Amino acid sequence: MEMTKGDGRLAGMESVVGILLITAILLCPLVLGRFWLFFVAQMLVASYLAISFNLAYSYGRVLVLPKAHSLASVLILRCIWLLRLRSAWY
Amino acid sequence: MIVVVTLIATMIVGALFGAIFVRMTGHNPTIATVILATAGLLTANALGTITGSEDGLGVSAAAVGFGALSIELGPTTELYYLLAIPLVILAAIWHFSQHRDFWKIVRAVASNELRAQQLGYNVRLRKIVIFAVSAGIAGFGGALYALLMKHVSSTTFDLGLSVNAILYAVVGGLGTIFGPILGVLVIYPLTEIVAHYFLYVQIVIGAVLIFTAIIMPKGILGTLFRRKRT
Repeated sequence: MEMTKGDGRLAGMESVVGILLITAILLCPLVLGRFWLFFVAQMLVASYLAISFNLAYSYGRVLVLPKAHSLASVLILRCIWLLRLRSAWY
Repeated sequence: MIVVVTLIATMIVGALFGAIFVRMTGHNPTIATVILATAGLLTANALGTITGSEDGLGVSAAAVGFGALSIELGPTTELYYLLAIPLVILAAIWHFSQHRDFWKIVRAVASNELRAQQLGYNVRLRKIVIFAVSAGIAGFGGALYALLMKHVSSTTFDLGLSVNAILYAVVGGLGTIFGPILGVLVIYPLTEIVAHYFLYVQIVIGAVLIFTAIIMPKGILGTLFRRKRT
C-alpha cells in the first residue's frame, strides 16, 4: 500500500479539483438567487447519498442502496414528531 | 439536534444490518439490501398512521441546534450552509485521513479481503464500520433533505433515487473523494434539463450509465488523472 511519486501527484491533482469544488459550493450563496440556491442545495443532498454509496461500494465492497438509510431517517423523524418532542429536538 | 440523532440512529441501524451483510458473499449482500429497501418502503406505506404513507409528512423547523448553539433557519441560505459545511468537513476528513493506518487497512481489505484476513486484520469489523459510516452519511443527508423540502413521503425513496446516487458516484469516479460530488454537479442539472424536453428521462440516465461503464469505467476523475499518469 506504499504510495508512489505518481500516486502523490494524482492525489495532488484531485485535491485541486476538490478545492475548486468546495470553493464553488461555499461561494454559491453569494452569487445565486433563492431558486438556484435551493436547486444547488438539492444537489448537495444528492452528494451525501452518492458519497454514502461510494464509501460502501469502494471500501466496503457492498453495493448498497442509500435509500434504505434515508428511509430510516424519515421514520425516526416521524417517531419524534409523534412523541411531541418536535420543538425541543429541532 | 434531530440531524445528530438521525445520524447516530442510522449508524446504529447500519451497523446492525452491516453485521448481517458482511457475512454474505458474492452478490447476496446486494440482493439483501434491495430486498431490505423494498421491504422498508412497503412497511412505510403500510404504516400510514406513523409514516404518512404516500401523502407524506410535513417537516418544519424555525431553528436547529440547542440554546446558544441554535441557528435560525432563514429562507434558504442558512439551510444551504447547514448542508454545505458538513459536506466540506466530511471531504476534508476523508482527504486528510488517507494516510492514516486505519484507512490504509480499509483499502487493503477492499483490494483483497483474504490477504488482509491472513495478515491478521479484522476484516468484518472494518467492513461493519464502513457500512455504519456510510449509513450515517445517507441518514444525515436524508434528515437534511426533510428539512430542506419541508415534506417527505415514502414515494421519495423509490428505486430511481438510489439508481441516481449510484450514477453520480460512477460518473464522478468510484473510490475518489470528490468524484461523487463532481458526478452530482454534472448529472443532476443534466437530468433536469433532459426532463424539461423529454418525458422518459430514465432512458437517458441508463444510457449515460452504460456509456460511462464502457468508455470511462473509472469515472471522470479516475479517467482524467489516471490516463495522464500512463
